[in-house]
Amino acid sequence: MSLQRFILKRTLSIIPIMFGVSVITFGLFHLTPGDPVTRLVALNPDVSAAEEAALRERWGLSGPVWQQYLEWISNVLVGDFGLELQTGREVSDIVWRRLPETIALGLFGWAFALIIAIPAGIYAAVNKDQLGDTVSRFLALSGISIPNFWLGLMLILIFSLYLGLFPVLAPSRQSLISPEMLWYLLLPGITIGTASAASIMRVMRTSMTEELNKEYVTAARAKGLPERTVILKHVLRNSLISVVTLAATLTASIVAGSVVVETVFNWPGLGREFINAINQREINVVMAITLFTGFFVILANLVADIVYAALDPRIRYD
Amino acid sequence: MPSRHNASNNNQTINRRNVIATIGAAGAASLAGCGGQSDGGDGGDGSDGSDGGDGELFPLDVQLEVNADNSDRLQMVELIAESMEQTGYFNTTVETYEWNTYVGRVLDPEYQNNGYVPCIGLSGTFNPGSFCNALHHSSNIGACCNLNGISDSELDEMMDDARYGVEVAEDSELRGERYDEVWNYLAEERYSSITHFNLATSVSNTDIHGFEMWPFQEGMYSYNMFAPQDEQIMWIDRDNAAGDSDLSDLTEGGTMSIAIGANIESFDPPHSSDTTSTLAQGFIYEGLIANDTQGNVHPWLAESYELIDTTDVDRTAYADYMSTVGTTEEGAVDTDEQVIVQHPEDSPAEDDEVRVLLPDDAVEAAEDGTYGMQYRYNLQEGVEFHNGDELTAEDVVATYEYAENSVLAPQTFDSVLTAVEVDEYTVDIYAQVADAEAERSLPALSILNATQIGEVEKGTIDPREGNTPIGTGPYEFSEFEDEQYFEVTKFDNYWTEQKGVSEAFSWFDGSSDFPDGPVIDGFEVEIVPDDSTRSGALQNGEIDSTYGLNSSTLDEFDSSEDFLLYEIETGGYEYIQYPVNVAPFDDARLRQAINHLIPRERIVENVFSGYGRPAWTPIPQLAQGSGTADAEALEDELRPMNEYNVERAEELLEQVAADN
Amino acid sequence: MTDRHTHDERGRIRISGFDSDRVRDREPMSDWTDESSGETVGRWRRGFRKFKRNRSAMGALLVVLVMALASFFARPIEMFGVVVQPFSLAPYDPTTILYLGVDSSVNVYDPPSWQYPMGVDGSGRDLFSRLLVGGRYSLSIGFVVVALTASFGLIYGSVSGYYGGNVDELMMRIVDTIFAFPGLILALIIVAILGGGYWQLVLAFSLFGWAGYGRLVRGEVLKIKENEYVLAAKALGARDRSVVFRHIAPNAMPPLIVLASLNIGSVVIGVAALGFLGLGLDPSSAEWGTMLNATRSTLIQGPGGQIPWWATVYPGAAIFIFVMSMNMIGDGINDALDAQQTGVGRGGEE
Repeated sequence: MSLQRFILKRTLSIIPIMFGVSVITFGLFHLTPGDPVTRLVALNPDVSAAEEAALRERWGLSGPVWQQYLEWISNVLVGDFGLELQTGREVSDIVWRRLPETIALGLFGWAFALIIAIPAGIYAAVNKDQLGDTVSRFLALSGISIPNFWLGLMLILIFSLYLGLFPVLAPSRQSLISPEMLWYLLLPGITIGTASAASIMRVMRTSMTEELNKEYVTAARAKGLPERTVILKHVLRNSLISVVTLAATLTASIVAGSVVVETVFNWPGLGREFINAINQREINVVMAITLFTGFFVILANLVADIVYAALDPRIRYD
Repeated sequence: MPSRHNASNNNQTINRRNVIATIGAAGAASLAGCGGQSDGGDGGDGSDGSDGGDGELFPLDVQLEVNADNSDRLQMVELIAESMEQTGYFNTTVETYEWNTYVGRVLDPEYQNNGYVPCIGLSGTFNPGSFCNALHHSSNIGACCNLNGISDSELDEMMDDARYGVEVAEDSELRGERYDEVWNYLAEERYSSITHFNLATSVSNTDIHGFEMWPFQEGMYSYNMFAPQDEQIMWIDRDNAAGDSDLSDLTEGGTMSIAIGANIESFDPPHSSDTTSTLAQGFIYEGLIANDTQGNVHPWLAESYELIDTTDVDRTAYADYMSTVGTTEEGAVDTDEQVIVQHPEDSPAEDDEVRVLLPDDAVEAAEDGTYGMQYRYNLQEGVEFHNGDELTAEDVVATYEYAENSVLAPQTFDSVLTAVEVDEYTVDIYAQVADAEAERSLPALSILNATQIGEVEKGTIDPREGNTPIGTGPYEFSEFEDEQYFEVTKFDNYWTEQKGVSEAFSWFDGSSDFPDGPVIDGFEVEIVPDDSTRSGALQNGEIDSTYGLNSSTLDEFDSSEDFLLYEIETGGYEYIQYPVNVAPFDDARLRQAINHLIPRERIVENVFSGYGRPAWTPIPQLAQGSGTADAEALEDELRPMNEYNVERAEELLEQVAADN
Repeated sequence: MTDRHTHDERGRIRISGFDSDRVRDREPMSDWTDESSGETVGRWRRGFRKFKRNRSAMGALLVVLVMALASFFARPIEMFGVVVQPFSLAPYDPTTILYLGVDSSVNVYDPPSWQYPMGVDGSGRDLFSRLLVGGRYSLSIGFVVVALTASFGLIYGSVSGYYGGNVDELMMRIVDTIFAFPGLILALIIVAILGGGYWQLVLAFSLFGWAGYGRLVRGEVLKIKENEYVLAAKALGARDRSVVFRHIAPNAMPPLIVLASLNIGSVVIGVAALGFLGLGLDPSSAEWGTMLNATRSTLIQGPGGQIPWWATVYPGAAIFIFVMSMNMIGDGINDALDAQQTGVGRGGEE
């Protein structure tokens, strides 16, 4: 099968998954006891039965579940996520407004992870079982084990409060793409990227070690190529492929991390919005963000698979 | 949550009006009838013993409930529970709920049957009634915040007699005495235990000069920007440190950056009541009157006002003007119009039709001479709205109409009958019955612009709806980003600056140095829900002032040279309420015993780091003016009944046990 | 040999480390796949010996054991009115407010002292006692969740891999769908719907947490099921169920155990994260994340103020040390059993 066909087939394969994602999102909120209206009415003892029925009608909660689902999904497909229950504002507006902030943070976290992890992984593999390797492996293990909320708190404590190097408030007026934004992004970006950096570093180290033991490396060395060239030109390229396989998993981890990290840093993104919405029982907002998360991770998977397929000539597409 | 855990102060107290609006006034009325009566309550004859019934009352299982997102309040409840537990008479559990769930739960009229002890916070006002009515009046069952169905007609009458009627409206001494009777009665019956009064605090850096506390958080910044009634003005001077600067050091200009603890939900004054919305609106809008810190009323947009007439009517006097409307199956009044007065003898729950006074009927009644009180307000001339209109009587009347069926309707139309234009600069506002609170409560609305009201859909004066809020205030709306920040800039044609302060306010007798308007050019309001983040931002120099910081950190700000701490006792208070309709809590001695187990001093000292005051009496300083004849005597009398006293508690519990 | 991978590589490369090309590369080195199932026991024994020589993993195991025992013996445990565990390592009940009755000189946030070795928390409770008892929540939820999800994932993956075809296709699509959601997001939603509480948390992390095991086991099963002994068993007329459970599942165990040991750490961090977000257990409970949430506001003090570091450092360190130890154990098992490298997706969010 050609790469093009693989891409086409792989792209089509996300359709049933997208469908599944929407079913899970919908099902979580609609098959559990107490739909939004029941919960709303519980808060407000004076809503009459007629008003309750009208509310159900308005929120698309009347009729059998499959019908509710169809109504909901057909609205979602045209970008209509309904209204916020308390303020009556468009949920899609909220999501679009918060999305860039979260993407900026996520990308920064990713960039941080790669910049730290790849050199560290190379270093550890090249100096296998030496002190530097041991230290960097220990750090990587710590990076995986440290709760990100705790790390975020510690960073704020040390760098913002004690040393006064970074702002405490989240950005509000700054344009997303501006030099001063870097200042705001640094601490939350590091927090969100640490776990990923640690994972990538570990995988880099393992795959580099494996590659270094292969024949072509020995051959290259035998040819008298400088070690630097061997590593950077041959080994690194092949090892990076294994990092690509990690990409989708780590994207999911960064998305989930944003919920916690945005809360710690008061970052005005989707993650904080998600927690607020959960606390205020804003079902439509929670559903919209959940759905977004799902789609986003699926897309990340798709991209990673395609990149992987393109990079690695050995893979068979079937 | 999260960011809400540490409870921005808006979460800490229910703003009573807020909740009433949610619940709906009609519902409250329809529910009033269903509370199980419990008079006196030394019954406990065991017929409805809730606990298995092996005869042993103690140890008694008690469930205390509290909202989880307020860590201080939770800590207080845990302390009370632990204190009860240690006597060996109680097995306590503390249940917590997320705020919205909790409010819904405790305001459900069925809640009283559970036998739980809820804890909640309320913010009271200068009106002493806000420290007894809200908790205990039977009309507040299912509304805010008579949570456990206290329905004591004798008490209802005592509380009504302290506020309504010609006698108390005219004699504030008599009013104080009547309230003293209420406080004594409550101390005996002990339906609820108020634990403490909150101290509001604010911290500024030393660039902010001339700041003073205002007892209500929502008015804190608007009060300080310009309050000639107390000769209060703040300014920014980044070169000299504040401390003992006075008016002669005043410098103009600058932009002040403050951080508030919650989003601004709405810029539409009668359609919002949360603290931060009111705080933000304070820059833009003004009212007919302004209060000083003592609760005295000063004319503001009204140049002057007078009480023209008081009559001795009760609400049945409006019967002739009332319209008859149907009721819904659920027992609510079936009309889209604002119900101003509902005939006291009709019950929407039982009757198919009820008599109600609608807005047009109210105008008719007032013009016919049927009213409790008539206040006349003479408006200032030459007051300009931000859109260039001049303030006239039309704006005031439109404002009162706009408040119909709004969030503020229940608290407005529990007293206001109607507002009627007399001429271009004169408005009469009528009260339904003679009301000792009328002077403050009738003119309580922020005055809106009639042109804007005519143009927008009700409830949409908000930048998110594409409508820029327009008021007469010293600052104009400039920018707002939802959940992030809000900015105002100085309004060039602010009316007191045009007139001069001594010209504008005939009552002004302050220094000639006092400026004619606010001197700060603009405000940047950052929305930062997390208390510690606000604290960090202040210390990091990112903001100039904020409020509601963790009480445990306040001493440090106080002793720092770089910051100034301001504090004042507010009307905010917290209380637990006993399930008086469920045995054995129908026994007043049990309630008194638990009250003696509340370590009020410990609560203030350990939970609030000293930033609060134990509630030895049920009224805070700000309501003592009209709420008691002699505050000291009252405290002497009531304090022994509210002190932490394990011996006395055990004695009472033994008596209860013996009778069972 | 590559024939065996027809189902294994449809370009779905999520569980990392188990990707087919590396499997292919390593296959010839494997020392067990071609051996009979009876000999896997030998592999376990060898693995155990290797694990014992791994000093850091053994140290980590010791840490985990000490923590588990300490929390078990922290306070007496009573079941149906019978005291099943009478010891009490923790000097105080985790809810006891010291300044009420016990010791009125105690103040909130008193620093560590001889009497209160980890200091006093914001409500005047002994932090050491709370930390010990708090381990019960985090640790037990971690183990219970992993036991539930690994068991279910094992069954799910075995069935899917063994039957193949449309069954496999459908079952793996379901797994794909679950993988589209980060675990923490799903857990948050479930807790938001059901409310906080011990079993709610268990459910929140179990309901979808099995998907990783399912996919892992399926991949292993695909490799194993073409083996001679499996084919032989089938040819001899063994029933499907017995083939799956007698022959295939045991061979899929090593990577499953590695993943499970690593996952315990993830679940513990997840539980703590929910507690920190105020959505886990009741806010006064001694669960570590919840304790951190309660002291979060103390990290920013006033100017010149002393941070009560003990209230934040100890619970945070407890989570960190436990998770770190679990990860070291996981790595140790991985090396010992020569399972594939699984070092991904366990930053706490998976």
